[in-house]
Amino acid sequence: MFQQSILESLQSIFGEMGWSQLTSLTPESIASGFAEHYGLNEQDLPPGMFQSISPEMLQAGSYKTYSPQLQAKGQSLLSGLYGGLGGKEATKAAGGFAGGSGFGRQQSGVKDVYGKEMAGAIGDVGQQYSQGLGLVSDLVNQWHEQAQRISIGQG
Amino acid sequence: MANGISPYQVAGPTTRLIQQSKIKESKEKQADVATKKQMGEMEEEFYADMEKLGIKASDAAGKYDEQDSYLSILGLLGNPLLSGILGAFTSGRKTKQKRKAMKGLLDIDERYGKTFLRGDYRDYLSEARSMQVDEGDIFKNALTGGFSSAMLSKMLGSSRPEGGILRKTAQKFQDVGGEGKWGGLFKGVGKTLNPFEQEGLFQPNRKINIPEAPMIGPQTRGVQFTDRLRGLWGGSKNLLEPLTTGVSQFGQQGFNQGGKGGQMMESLMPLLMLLQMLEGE
Repeated sequence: MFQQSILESLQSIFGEMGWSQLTSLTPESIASGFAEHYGLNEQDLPPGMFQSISPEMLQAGSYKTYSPQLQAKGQSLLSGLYGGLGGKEATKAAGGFAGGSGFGRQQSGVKDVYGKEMAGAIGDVGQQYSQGLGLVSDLVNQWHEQAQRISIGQG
Repeated sequence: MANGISPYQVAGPTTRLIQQSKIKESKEKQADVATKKQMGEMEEEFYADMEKLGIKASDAAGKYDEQDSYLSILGLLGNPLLSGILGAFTSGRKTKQKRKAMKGLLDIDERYGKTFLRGDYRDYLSEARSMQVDEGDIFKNALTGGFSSAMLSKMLGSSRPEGGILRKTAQKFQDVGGEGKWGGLFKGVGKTLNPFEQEGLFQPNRKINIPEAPMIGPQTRGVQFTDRLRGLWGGSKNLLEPLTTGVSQFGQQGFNQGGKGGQMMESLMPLLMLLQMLEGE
């Protein structure tokens, strides 16, 4: 969603483009595109003013970059969950009778622990992903800000 | 790790994210510096352009200053007609040159008007526009300059047998020369003015070799004269219309009252022709 809003902010300048195409924007093309968009002479927006987006930065703004982390955490939690649901603790809680209330409480507790930890892991990954996107978004916003400063003198 | 995923692999994205954050901060600073530098350079360039145009205009406006000064002095020493012609020529040429020079002030690059410098750009243009010289001013100033030079020359005695201020002053200085405290100085001034006197520059109505205007002659006197004068300025600016009409009427009355105004108009004709030449310059 956030990726889409970044791309939309550039659509009026560079036309339709995909996320991976952001790295193809060179300082020259950025300068030229923004000069035209803000009605400036290209001479007034030299390419040297603009910082392009590196592939590493773009990677930091992709969700799949963080999926190994989530996968690792998930697998670790999953093994704990299996142990908790069917291991010694479960047998002890059941007291030989799987339908007892003690067993049910134990099973529910194990699931709660797993769920909370998994939610925490997803939150952490989401936060990093969001920070990565922020890097790209900040640079794109700066392009606009630079052109605006030359055009109307803000900042 | 037990699940087969390397801890480096898990920690990698976080590490790279921190690195990229630092890189981004650095890029932002670089971009900010580059923008400020660019704004400074544009400002410098703009003011340099304005200065350059100002100097160019000022130089162009004063192109004939020295020459005009000599011509004016020369004019004052001679016949009022010569004075009038030279005065008109120098005033007209000066105004024309100024008009050309001031036009150059408008040659500022319009790209500044699209940038943060638009306020200064508009102020400059407004100032430059207010300094523009109207085309009609060339003729107006030429006529004014011509008449005032002729009048001044007359005042200085070029058309009177006894001479005017200049001749009298030269005489007086020579008379008192050698007497009193200021004698030496007076004598010196008298000597300086004497050659002009000997050359007859102060003589009344000294003949000047100016080609006769083709329309001057008996046939120009009377009703035809007004038409010819109007024709001479045909197609000129609105400003000239009432002026030439006024001059024509003056001349017309002069003819009716014994020809004195007619003589003056004859004198004025070369001047008016010269102004016409100036228009086509």
